[in-house]
Amino acid sequence: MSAPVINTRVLVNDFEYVVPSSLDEVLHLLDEHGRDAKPLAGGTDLVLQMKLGRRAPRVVVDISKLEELKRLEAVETIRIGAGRRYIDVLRFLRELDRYHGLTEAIEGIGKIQVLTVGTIGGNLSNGSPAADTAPPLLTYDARVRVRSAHAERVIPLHEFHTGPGATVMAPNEIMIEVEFDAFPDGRASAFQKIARVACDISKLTCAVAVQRDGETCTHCRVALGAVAPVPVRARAVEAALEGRRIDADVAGQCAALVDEDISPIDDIRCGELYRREAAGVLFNDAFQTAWERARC
Amino acid sequence: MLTSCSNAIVLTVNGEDHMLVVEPNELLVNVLRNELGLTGAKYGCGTGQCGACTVLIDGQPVLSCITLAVAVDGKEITTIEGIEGPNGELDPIQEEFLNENAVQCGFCTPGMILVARDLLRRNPHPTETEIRHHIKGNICRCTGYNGIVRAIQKAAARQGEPQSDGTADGEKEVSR
Repeated sequence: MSAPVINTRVLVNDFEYVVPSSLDEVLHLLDEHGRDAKPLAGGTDLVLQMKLGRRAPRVVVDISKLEELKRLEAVETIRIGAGRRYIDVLRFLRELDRYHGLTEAIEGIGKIQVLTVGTIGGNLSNGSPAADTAPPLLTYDARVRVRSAHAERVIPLHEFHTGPGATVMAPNEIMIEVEFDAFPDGRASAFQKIARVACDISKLTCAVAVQRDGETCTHCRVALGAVAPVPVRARAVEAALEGRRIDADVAGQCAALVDEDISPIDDIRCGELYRREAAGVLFNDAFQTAWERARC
Repeated sequence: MLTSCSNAIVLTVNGEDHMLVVEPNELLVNVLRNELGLTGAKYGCGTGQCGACTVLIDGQPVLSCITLAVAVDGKEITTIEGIEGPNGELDPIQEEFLNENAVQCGFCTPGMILVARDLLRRNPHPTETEIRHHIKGNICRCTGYNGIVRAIQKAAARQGEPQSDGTADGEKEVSR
């Protein structure tokens, strides 16, 4: 049997398109239609998935205009509405000038045509192991707030992704916002990405957040994307560096430990061995950058 | 329960209102090209990678090949056909594209020029790095980009000297 022909010139499947005026209405629609419904934010992933025949929702629920999903707040907790466009989030983060890992991850998503419509909610909810915003948010111990018509729950991000394209969210739930604690003084972060060309999906990504007390690293978070079925924390290298005096090439010596927490595969973007080799290098780059930033 | 399952939409395209009846699965690029005869936006990769289908929606560059037409009901859309001056004169960016031979096959050109326009609106005097960064979602397979970058630099230079606050809406930082 030959592979089905994919025609990306048109969308072949029929669906009903709905623009609810409130979050409650969205939640009721999702409750009513379950797996047959899909929320549409920027559509940069969903519409593409539909074109490629990977998803065929019967009801597309446009959530792009819902004010309830657009909070941007920085007090003790940083809250980023799941439906906020990247371009707004980027401006918000640059004003804060503190969360450089996440800022760099969104910058890395790159093309202006995606920044103007895409959202962090979409990036995380689609469950891609390569989601660029996931590693920095993992290093911030971020939580996602999801809601259904019946309940709201807060899920640590490291428990959120369950496999390629899969999350713990039920079909009747929607992500409201992402939140993380404001950095204490002396904490900084960085993000590094390798992709074939500027706007391609990442071959691999690495984010680091560190707490610096003089020359000692008192808190360390390392997370990687596109090297496992879900975005992952590299706990072995975190443990090796936490509480450690960072001199000479400590991070470089520990970089090989990153390998313990990843399980990359060969795919069209690159091979497993490349990913294993590059992961340590990328970690070292991200660590050095975060460490320098934490100095002041 | 359903507030909108109507397929009648209004698009303001290049300043002109169009009432259209569309199916939910119709893509903006096809509506522009097939219903309105505006063939400037190109169907390139169809998967949101090449930028040839770029149009401006409420002034923001968007990929029309992965945008549902129903989802932009009520919005203002600018295509390459809509950027000429009141007497049909070319936009300075278009002129500089011609002067710099920034066009070979021309397939990427409409998207490239609209993204360049967006850049100069946010950041009237971009550096070469900022230009290359801003057009990175638009793929050109003929020119090698150098002519395109020069054309945008020249169009920027024609806008006059940098002003203390030259940004249109404070979005300059996006083009970093």
